[in-house]
Amino acid sequence: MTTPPRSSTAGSRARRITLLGVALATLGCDAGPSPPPDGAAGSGSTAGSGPGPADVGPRPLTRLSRREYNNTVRDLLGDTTRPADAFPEDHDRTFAFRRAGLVATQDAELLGTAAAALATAAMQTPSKVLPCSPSAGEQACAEQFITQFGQRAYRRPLSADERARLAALYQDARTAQQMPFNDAITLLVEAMLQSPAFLYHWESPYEAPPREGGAVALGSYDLASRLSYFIWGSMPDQALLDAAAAGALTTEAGIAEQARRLLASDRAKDAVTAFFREWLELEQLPQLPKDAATYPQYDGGLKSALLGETEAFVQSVLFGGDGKLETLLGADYSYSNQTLAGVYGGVATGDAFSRTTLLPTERRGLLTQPSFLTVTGAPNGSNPIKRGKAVYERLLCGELPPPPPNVPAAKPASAGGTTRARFAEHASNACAKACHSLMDPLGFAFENYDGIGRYRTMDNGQPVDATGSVDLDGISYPFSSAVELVQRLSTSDRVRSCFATQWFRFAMGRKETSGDEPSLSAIESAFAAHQFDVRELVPAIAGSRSFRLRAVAAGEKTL
Amino acid sequence: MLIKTAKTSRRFSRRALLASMGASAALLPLVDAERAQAAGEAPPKRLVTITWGHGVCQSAFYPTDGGVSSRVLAPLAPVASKTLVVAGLDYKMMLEQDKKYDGHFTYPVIYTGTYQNTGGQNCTAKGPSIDQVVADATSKDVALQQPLLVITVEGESTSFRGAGERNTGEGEPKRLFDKLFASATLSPEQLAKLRARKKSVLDFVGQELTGFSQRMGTEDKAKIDAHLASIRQLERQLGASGAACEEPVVDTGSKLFQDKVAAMLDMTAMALRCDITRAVSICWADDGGYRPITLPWLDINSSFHDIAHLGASAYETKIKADVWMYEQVARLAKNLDSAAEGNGTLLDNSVIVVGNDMCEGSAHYVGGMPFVLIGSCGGYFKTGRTVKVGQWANRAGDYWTGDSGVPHNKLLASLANAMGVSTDSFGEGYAGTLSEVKA
Repeated sequence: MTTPPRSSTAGSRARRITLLGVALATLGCDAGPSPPPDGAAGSGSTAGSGPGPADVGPRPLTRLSRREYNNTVRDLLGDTTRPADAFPEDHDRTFAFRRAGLVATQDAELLGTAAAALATAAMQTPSKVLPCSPSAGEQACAEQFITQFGQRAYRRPLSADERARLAALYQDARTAQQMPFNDAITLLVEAMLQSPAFLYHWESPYEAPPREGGAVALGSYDLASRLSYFIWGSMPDQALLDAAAAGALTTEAGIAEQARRLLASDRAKDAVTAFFREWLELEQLPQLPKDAATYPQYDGGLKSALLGETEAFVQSVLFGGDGKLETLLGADYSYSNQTLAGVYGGVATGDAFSRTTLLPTERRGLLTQPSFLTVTGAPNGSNPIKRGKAVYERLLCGELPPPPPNVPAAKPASAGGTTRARFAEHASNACAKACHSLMDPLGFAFENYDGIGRYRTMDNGQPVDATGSVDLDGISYPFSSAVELVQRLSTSDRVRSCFATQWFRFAMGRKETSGDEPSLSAIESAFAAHQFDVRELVPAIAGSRSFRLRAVAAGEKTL
Repeated sequence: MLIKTAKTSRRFSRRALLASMGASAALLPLVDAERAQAAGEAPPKRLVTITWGHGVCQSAFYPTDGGVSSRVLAPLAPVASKTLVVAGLDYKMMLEQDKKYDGHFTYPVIYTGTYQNTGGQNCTAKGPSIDQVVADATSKDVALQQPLLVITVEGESTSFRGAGERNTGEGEPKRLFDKLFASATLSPEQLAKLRARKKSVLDFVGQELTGFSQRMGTEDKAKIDAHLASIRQLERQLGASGAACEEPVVDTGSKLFQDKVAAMLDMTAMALRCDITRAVSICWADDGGYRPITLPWLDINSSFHDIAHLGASAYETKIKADVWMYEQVARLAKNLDSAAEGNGTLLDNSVIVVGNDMCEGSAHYVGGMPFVLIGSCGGYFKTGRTVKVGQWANRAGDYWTGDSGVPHNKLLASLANAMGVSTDSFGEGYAGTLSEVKA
């Protein structure tokens, strides 16, 4: 396998992709151009190749994802109907984590439908949104509603322009449209839920943002939102808004303190598990088909049990355990229930998950959990390439070149031989070899698990060979199974650095740029200083310069 | 489908949909103002694009006798005289930018004739797709209820409003049914009130968006501008008058892929018959391995993508899958052909374009693409034959690899002209129409 470049320090990060490209080119494989540093759809011009004067990254405009929308209307209106489940899936080929795309006509229509239903439902109980009684004066109450509900919906105080437009809509509703008071308020809620101030993650457009050197400093309310969407996947609570109002978020220490408070809350479980679902591509599971003849037990119940196990495990490590990366990747326990017993061969009963000790020769940590192995399996078997690719890209932050043309696919199982033998033949093609050497050895390590993650020692009538070696941090480590591989990965500098980078991407909604180097360096140092405890990684990201400031965008106007 | 002709008199059963949704219903009812076609007036033309990926098994796909019969195209036999196979067009701008094997990444290219790399193999379009161009041109003459209908059962749509702006497709049959066919009994006063209400919200959102982007950088402002364009489109559709229509009998409740495809195609046919829309973009499969589909009702239990990757060793399975896909195309074509219109049928005044993302499933190559047209678009296309373009014209049986040298932009330009949008070129870089396909 090609020696992966070292990446244990932030200083080597910028060279990582280049080194990989050179290595592939010498092997005769077209590595293709590196992706642009900023993976945001249709954006990234501010992410130059050299360090910018700002020494922070850009902040491409993003809007509420489906998960964030559902959580936000739950916290804003008490609505738990998950209306955003009806929106198209947030999927962006250029970025691993979920990010909502442009608002096309169909999206605008669905946002309108959802807003109408939410507003109508909320106003069944007017006290949910109205801070006052109209009997004491409808006009005054409407204005109070605009100011107070508006601040929660827009997650910051409204500008005079914004208040005026809402007041004008109220007037139009009452006079031209002749609506009673409550209907007019319903209309306002419906309108606010379609306002860009509600739908997008952005600063107040009506204020000149403060500058710090060559960068833009995010305002207090903006920071509060950024923090709560990072850790809660939802709008700020009152305590966070109060901290913003008191100016407590403008320092690294101040924001880190709030980050710890948010992370300690039960509400953090949603975003934390979302990170792991998206990082390991488990989000695909609900729609992933399998061959019913090969895996008759693969149904909706098993799918949700697979996800449930990983969520229970992640939450136990981060909210009840030691919080460490090494534990996430190398734990000798997991969670099981009756449905999973068919996969694990265990004796668990009932739907609830209970802690189960893993056989040390068979499994350890996240990467040997059936959820990951199912998503990276084929519909009718294992898939070493997909599994190797996932480890290479998600754990090692490697960038693979496009597949070369005209490589015959691996033979089907009916041709005889183990999965490994058939895939090895496929990868012996000269050009394919260079690319496959990066991922296949990693994938072969998981040959002891079938397409839904069941442990096996025989494949297609022959013994499984899960041996290989991995080059990590400049050393070549042999392994005899996935259990040995994941133990190496769980303490590797490269994996630690990559894991911090993945959390950074998740927090920022974009890939890292050269401008982020100082921030990433500080984040990795803090992560190391706390024995790679994820609960310290999160506040370190929140306190970093790249989280609190942003580069000036090309074409940006000053007010 | 229980419908016999577009002129059958059974009217919409007016569903009490709005009543159940309350006054803030997001759906506007149809206006019962039939756009009766004036006697002697030429029937309108319609465009439907249908797309799935993973290429074709060329030996089983391409007709060898100059006609349109082959194993894969067999389902089109009932409309063979109205079918035109266009063999060998290249996604030329991709070939010239050394993206020859990026067949899984061509959905933005197929109907726009443009290519913009966005990093690695990813790309987007630089301009609008043919369905959008046709919808925009039509909108200048008539306010249709749904100027452009974009449907995606699986995968991302092939339809683009403009550079980098992909039109999101509708994937839920039930929702599409309500959007196209649901109605309610409302007095003119109630209808006017509902319209005014919706307009006031859209006006407000438009103002908010305009203010919101005032100090943003160029790229972020473009995202808000795209959102604003969507709001403007909804505002325009508020003023549209829906045609009186029959309610198609479709199963909108099934979650099965094959049932969804059938429902979407039957609703498309009825929307075209009723003049609810004249431009439709349909995609029913992911262009790569992201959302794999299996076809268990055909006993195909590994993913369509993986089967295509196997190349010749799994051709029989791939052919079986593609035959099923063409059966679905035929379902729509036969439906349109059963509706009398003018001197012929609705299909005669339409063109269904079937596009693909690559030439063959294991090669991923983007030269020598398979296009199939059904319907002559009012006599514009000469159908009932296979046209081999450019360097493909001299090849006998073996289409296996190679470019024709002819950019597919020329076919897009011909389609635009066929639909009444006069133009010398389409997309970027390559001028001209495809004279070979003309009647």
